[in-house]
Amino acid sequence: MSYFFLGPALVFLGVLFLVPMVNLLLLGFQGFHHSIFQDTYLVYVIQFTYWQAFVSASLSVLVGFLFAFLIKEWNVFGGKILWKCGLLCSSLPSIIVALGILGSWGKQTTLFGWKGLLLGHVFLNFAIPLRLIGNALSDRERTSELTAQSLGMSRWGVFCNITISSIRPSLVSSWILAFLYSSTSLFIVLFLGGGPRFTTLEVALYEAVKLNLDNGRAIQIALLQAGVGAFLFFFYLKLQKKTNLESDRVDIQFFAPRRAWMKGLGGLCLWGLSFMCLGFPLVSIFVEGLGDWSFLDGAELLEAGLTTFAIATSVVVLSISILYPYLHYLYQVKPQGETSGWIWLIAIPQFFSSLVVALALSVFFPLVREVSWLSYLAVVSTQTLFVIPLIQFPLREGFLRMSKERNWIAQSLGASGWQRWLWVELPFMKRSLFLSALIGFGFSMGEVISILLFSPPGIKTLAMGIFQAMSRYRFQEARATTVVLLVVMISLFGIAGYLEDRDESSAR
Amino acid sequence: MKPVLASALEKCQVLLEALQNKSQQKHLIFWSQLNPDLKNWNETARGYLKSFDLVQKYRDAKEGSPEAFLYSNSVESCVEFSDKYSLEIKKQEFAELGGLIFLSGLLFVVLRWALRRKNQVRFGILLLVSLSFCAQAKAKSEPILRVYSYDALTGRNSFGEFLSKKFFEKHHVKVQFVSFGTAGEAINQVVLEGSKTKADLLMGLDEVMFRKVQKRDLFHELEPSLSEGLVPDLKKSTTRTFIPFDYGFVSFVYDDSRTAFPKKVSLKTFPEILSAQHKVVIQDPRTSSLGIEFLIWTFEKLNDGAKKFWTALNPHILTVSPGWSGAYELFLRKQADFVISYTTSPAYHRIKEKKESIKPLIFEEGHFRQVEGISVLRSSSQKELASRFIQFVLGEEAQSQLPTYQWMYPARKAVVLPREFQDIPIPKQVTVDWDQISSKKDQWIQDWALMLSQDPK
Repeated sequence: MSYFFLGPALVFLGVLFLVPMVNLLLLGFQGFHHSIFQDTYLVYVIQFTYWQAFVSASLSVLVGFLFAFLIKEWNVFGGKILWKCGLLCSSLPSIIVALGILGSWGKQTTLFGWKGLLLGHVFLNFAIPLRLIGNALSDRERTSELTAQSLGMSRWGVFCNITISSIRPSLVSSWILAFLYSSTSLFIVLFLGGGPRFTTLEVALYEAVKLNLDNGRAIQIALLQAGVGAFLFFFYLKLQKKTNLESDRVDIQFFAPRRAWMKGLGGLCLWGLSFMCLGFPLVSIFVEGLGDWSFLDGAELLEAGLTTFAIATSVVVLSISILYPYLHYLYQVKPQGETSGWIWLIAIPQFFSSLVVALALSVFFPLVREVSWLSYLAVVSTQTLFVIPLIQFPLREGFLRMSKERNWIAQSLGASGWQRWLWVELPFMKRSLFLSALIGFGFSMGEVISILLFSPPGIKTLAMGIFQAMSRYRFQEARATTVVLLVVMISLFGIAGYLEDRDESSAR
Repeated sequence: MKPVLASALEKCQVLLEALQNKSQQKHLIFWSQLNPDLKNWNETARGYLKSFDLVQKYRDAKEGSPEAFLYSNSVESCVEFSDKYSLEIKKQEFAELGGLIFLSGLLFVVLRWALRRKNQVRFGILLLVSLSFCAQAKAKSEPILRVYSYDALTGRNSFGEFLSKKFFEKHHVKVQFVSFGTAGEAINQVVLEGSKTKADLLMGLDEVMFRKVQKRDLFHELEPSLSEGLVPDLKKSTTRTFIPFDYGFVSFVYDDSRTAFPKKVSLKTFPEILSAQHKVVIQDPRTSSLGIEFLIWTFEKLNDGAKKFWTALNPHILTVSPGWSGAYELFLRKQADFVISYTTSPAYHRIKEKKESIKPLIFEEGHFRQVEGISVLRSSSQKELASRFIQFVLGEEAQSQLPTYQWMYPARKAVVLPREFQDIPIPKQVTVDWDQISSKKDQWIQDWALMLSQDPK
């Protein structure tokens, strides 16, 4: 029975991720006589990649922590909106973020180099610490804080000694994720980096695989990245085990400001920082993009929209049809407490760069870059590998909320497995499924790397359209397409945010 | 008599190639297995196509001579055969379409019965699917010439669109441009696809890229007559497998209204003339063809002085953009004073924006000339048709339109340029040693990356 539920996910992960990655590993070892470490420039690139990722991740965690604290502890005005915006910001295609930052801050100051990289990475990654730390702050065990305070410890002392240590796993986890995403960022580095001084391994990998067709060099770079990814993944897993502590929740805002003006100042600080880092670039995209729409080619836009829609729909359908039975088995069939290892197994791909995964796939199945329909299939498969870890959260929450008793009652009334699924489980899971579909859809709409790598001849998607328009002297069209994509993504994430709210209130 | 016969033979040749291509499509191959007659027709057509080169030899034979008689007889029999062959293929297609409609109808009836009239919307959808299936099958049978190229050559209002439209009007053959981010990506795709590639032609390759892949034996050798009528200067860039269709000179472009600068400068001293506030945006030679050409220009022309040049230019570099578009965007946004582009780029602003202030810098040492070419792939099954397309691209009609689409100079000589182009000074061209470039290019890129990875301060 378990084969039926777990099989599709394990086969998918095994055939399209694990086996190609192992193959890449073996190929990488074969090519080590021309080591990349002999290349002086590449050694500099390796050092810079991880140094900038360290700084970017630290800054993202700092900003995310500040936001999370002000939203969850001080409950400042509009905090909920910013909480939702985070999801949108981290899902925007990095080309849009780069264009927005160039169009806003780029006009005020010279951004290229450190400033541009940090701003871009904070924009894209701050939502990870915001969500993880925010949730850790809400769910933390507060009794020790109350006890310590009643014993005379100052609020600052409680914060430093108890609160920080209780949310430490989420701080470190979010730092790890932000570090990984910053070290594998491609377009932010390409557009805001500013040349060889600010190049990362991902750019070197892109050049090797796409422009020079140098698979040997690409494999070695990919291996290095995969090694760092795997190391951080296991470290991350270790942290997750520590956070699985259940505690009695006490719903009080322990660090709430004592005076109203302090809360106002906090709100001002939050909104000011949000506008500077996030709002200004987004507003500039709208202002520049809404200028003149006559440049927009309706037929091309429609074609791009339909292709984007088709790819995104395929990705969502494939992801859900693989993940749903997998989670159903873990949460409805399997005895509780034996699920964590299985859950993290399907999350592995997110710890690797999509370019590395796509490269592994194309090396193992060379036909995917040669045959047009296989290229589309490879695009959908690669995106699915990265959508599954993302949508597992809303789906898991749905399953966790659903009690097994419902199933047992239905079973005792004589309902078959399919009937129970159709009449008991599915109506309950409907909202989680829809939320997952929206998140998957949003991710796929903005994803460019797999499309760029496999590039089925003649493919047109909205995100690709921005690049294509820019290369034809059609900057206004690129901005207008950006607005279209942005509006669609804001609508999608608006609905996702609304559903998330409904989910939370129904959970209460 | 002769020109009429020659034109009939050419038309016949094109038609036979198109029909051959059609008959090679999977669905017709399947039908031809069932229909032995069609198989014979295909073989005869192949025989005709093979004998064309022989027949063409008699084209200029004197009237009344045995060769002229043979020629006119061959043309007549070919025309007769192609008409019959065309009819046979049409019959086959008709039968196929009828069969498909019948099968779709049958499927529709079966499904309707299965659904027991519960939902009319479903029937509508099924009907649409059936019809689109038939339409798709019909569309597949039209001959298509596939051209792999870079973005700017394809899409709306592009030179590619113009070519497709006009070629179809003239030869009734569809030309499909398949776009890639850069010409380099297009050639990489061809290398990856190997002999299975669907492309018939590659358009927009520059010399640097062409020479990189020249030894891979990807291209078909074309008739030398195709390159007759090109600008004499382009002779060195022309080979049997690479036919130039446009060219331009790499240079820095600036806005006269916001940056005061001498119009003629020396490449060697250019970084020294720049003031501390002047910002330059360049393209990355690892990702951009313009970027590599500028790098080659500096290393070829300045030799040992190239390192000094780049070290002096480094503090003025605002950013190294991955491609031309990003760099030009920064220049238009007024974030940079100079951008690497073409001496002809100002013509775009003059014609489209009526802006006269964008100017190219003219260097005393001369400029690197970028030549864009077109090549037919060895794997193409429509080589004759592809040659005809090249002929069309190099024809008077297409070449006279090229400047205002590509913003480059046409490869054909004696084409009248728009007034806005005529005002732009044509710079001296630097001579380059391609053997040296091939052997040293990678080292130059490596040196360049190391130089620019240093903090300029």
